[in-house]
Amino acid sequence: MDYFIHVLVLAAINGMLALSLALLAGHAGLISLAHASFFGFGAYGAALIALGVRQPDLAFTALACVVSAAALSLFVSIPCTRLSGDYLVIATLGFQTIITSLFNNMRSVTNGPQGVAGIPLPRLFGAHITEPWQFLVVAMMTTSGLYLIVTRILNTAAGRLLHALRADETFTRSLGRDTFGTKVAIFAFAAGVAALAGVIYAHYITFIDPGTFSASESIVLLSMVIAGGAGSVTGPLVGALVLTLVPEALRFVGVPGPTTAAIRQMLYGLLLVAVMLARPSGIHSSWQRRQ
Amino acid sequence: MSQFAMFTQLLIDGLFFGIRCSLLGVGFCLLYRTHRFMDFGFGLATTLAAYCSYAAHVIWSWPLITAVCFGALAATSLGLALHITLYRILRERGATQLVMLLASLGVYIVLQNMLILLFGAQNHALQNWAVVEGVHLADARVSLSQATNALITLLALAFVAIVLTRFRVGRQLRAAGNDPDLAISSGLPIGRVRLVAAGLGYCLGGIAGLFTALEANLWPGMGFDSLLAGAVSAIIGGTSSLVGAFSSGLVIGIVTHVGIWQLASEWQSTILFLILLAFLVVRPRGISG
Repeated sequence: MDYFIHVLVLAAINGMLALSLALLAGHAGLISLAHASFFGFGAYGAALIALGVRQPDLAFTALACVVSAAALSLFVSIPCTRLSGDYLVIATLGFQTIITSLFNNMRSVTNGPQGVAGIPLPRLFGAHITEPWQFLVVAMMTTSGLYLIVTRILNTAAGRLLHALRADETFTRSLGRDTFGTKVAIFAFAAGVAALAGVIYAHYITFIDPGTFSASESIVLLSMVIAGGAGSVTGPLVGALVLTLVPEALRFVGVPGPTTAAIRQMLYGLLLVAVMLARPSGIHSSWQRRQ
Repeated sequence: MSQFAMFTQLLIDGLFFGIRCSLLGVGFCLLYRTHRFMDFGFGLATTLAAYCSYAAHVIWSWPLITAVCFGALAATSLGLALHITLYRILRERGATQLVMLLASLGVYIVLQNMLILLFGAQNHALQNWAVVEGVHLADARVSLSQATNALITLLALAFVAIVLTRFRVGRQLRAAGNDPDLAISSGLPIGRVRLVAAGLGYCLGGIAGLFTALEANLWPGMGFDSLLAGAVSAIIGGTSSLVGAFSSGLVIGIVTHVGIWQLASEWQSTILFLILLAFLVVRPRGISG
């Protein structure tokens, strides 16, 4: 039972990541391979705050990490607003490489490749969070809240602006819309959400290392979104749930940990190729709307 | 070591690193010009070449020369195989540029993890002997492997230049790169041309990977670094020009080395991308764009 809860917590965290990346890559058409770096930024931020400040509140940590991740996203969003397609992919991948290299090499802050261990269990509004089910409640509530916010965004003018941006940027600008501001804002939002997922992840697992937030992880997240249907909102969530559960089944059959990690990534890669073969015209159509 | 000698050493190391960047840049540019999508398989070519030569030399104890040739051959075959199977099918289904990129990303992650399963995630060394001290040039040291690698790189690039200018298929390749639609409509065998570009491009990537393995280490994620170095050189040089990719590779190599005068060498890739990001702000489509 505990194990099942554990997997669900991971699924909820992945759900958050997938949903925010779907907003960026699916709805706004800005394919980013830097998502894991913001996830990692949140996780490292939470670890450093938790180890530096005595018994900080989770809400405070989350706020600090989300705001600074959103600020960090400006470094990638502002240079990238003039880019699209494969140039954007390579630039975000470059940003991801920089952040991974910071995690690995700023040894005095991040403890290098060994990672940070012994991250204390958090308090939320004074209550101690210790049990996995309590984490599940926090993660589930955050993910559901995010789901509501994202559906709300997509149903307003802002959401239509995102879709317009994806369809034809020049035309959107000709209508007097601020495409620059929209891109920067959506990048900041997605980065903030990823950092939030990182905060919960760091406190829940209590150990983080650079490998968890590498470029490969960014690819995994992207394939999660694409497999679920990048143009929908429930799709990426379902994708995150299924693609978290399936590799966990490997552990049950007794496959050792590092092998599971590699097989998990291979599965994602194969899935990505399969989806591309099935939907060569683009990733934005959701499964329901597929011809 | 005096300041001046230090500077010359950095300049020389930068030059050698730059030659490798040029190799990657030209390989990437060849692929990108004819295939019109960012192919992550190119990064895979460097990793695969390094691991194949590692398996051949260290595990099966083949002679180093044979093992290295085997590695380059493996990279070339990977390029040909991918373009005959997956990429051709995708193209026939009318895949967009981005879809091709994502599919190659999928292939990349599958093969990289396959290598992790086979060889483990840790670093490996292709050679175990100490660095052979080479000649001294104005107080700076040039190792024998650096000099050999640079020579082979220049020969490989000269070979590509000869193919492109002297042979029919090379001229077709340039035509297809300059204007694909016109080339196709005038009856160019585009499939064959693309295949040649894939073979050449992946082979150059493989050679670069072999040099990394010979001079430093091999590790599963090395393909990313190579792909990015290639892409950065190609983008800064302007993706339409091989000469541009070559010269910007050289400049990047020297700038990253001299730029890290006061910094530790692990920041090299960081500097590379800071250059790219800075460059993309000023000129999103390269020097010529």
